[in-house]
Amino acid sequence: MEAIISLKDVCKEYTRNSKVTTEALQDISFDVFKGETLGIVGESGSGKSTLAQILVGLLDASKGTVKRKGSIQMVFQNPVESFNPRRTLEYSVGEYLKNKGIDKKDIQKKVAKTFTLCGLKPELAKKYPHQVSGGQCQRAAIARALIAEPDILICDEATSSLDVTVQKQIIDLLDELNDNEGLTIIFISHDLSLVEMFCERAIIIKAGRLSKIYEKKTNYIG
Amino acid sequence: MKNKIRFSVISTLVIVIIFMAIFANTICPYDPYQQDLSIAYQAPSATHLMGTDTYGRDMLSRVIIGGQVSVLSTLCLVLIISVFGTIIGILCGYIGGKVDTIIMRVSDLCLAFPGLVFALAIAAILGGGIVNAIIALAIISWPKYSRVARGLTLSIKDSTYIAAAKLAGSNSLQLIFRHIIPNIIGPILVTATLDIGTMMMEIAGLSFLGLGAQPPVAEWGNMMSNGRSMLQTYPWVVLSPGIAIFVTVAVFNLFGDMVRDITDKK
Repeated sequence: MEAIISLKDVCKEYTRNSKVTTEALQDISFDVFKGETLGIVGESGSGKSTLAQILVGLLDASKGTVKRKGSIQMVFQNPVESFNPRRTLEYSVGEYLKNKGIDKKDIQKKVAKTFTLCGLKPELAKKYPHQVSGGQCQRAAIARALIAEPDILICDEATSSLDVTVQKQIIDLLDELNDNEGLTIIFISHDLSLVEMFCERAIIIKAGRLSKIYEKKTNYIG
Repeated sequence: MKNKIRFSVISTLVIVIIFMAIFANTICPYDPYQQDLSIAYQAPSATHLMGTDTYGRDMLSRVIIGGQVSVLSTLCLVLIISVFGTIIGILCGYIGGKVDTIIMRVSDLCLAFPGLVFALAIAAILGGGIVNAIIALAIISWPKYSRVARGLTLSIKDSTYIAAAKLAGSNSLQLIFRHIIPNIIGPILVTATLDIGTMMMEIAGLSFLGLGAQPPVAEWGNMMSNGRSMLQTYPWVVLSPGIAIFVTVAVFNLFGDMVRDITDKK
């Protein structure tokens, strides 16, 4: 299988006054293959979110190399906080297209279409983040990621702030996107059972180090 | 309902004050600079509602025309310092690093001097005049805005929605204009409206000390200064501009409080 992301000996150190204060990640190496659902599991503070930000390009690795063969988008943990409170969902979801110079009417059409794909009523696009529920907001966040037609979608604890029913709906939506659109999904969570249910493969991060890689067909959670 | 009435009354007063300042030349019942020694020191009457001064000039007309200088120069000053300070603050907060350190130390220096004394020194170097008074006060007053804007920018720039906007391909200017400014404009506006009263007092203070507007230009501060020796004999010469300052500052302070209440609710 073709590796769509390849990490080799990636380290991330946080420094203050040129002194290393935190070693968030150490010697992380793994590949992500096209069309797979990969889980990244770890305790709070283990470095999962740092890894997600390096994968998506929001952070640079201090050492090591990250090779990406495709566009990446990300869905964040807290759906409401991931939207500008002063902008409508339509504005935030359509921002990628606006930056590409696409005109307003086409953006509105595309946003409505993506909202429908994510199980949202297109009318909700005119609402502000605080005017919709957490589940609707997270679906809008997925819509924002999908509107850019990415090859890879990183979900950083995307379901952890949602109740169980909504969590299930979001997982079903991601599953559909993986099956129907062939979207590669990196699912970051501290919830082992959720990762077991959803992902084909999972890597376990412990104190900033890659602890184990499991595959569903063999021995999933050790 | 009570708040709506309060909002309507204060907003109307602010509009009336600004309107009077802009159209002062038309509103004045007499020429504010026309001297007539035969009617000097006349007490308030139906002909001259606020009386006349040493040279027989109508005090009401001088208060109205003085408002043009006082109010418009204050609004101009607040606009300059709020825009300049906000731009500097956003740049410091967004860029960070050495740029932030250097500019913030300069602003610390400006804040380290006692405000009015520093403004007095600058105005004394530049010479008298309302423009120089505005420059002097602008030099000492912008850091307040840059600090507010910097703090807010720092808190916003690491927020998740900024990260999401970066992933959507927004560049720094787009991030600042689309996401940072709309989220910091409220507190800046509140600071600016609350600052109008203070700045008006400071301009009047500099003029009172002879470093602001110069005679014969009518400005509330220098009108009070010119009439201060007549406080016991012809009190209206001092009280008329004094009351004008008091009322205008009170209205703008109430307006600032109201803007703060409105933005807090949101």
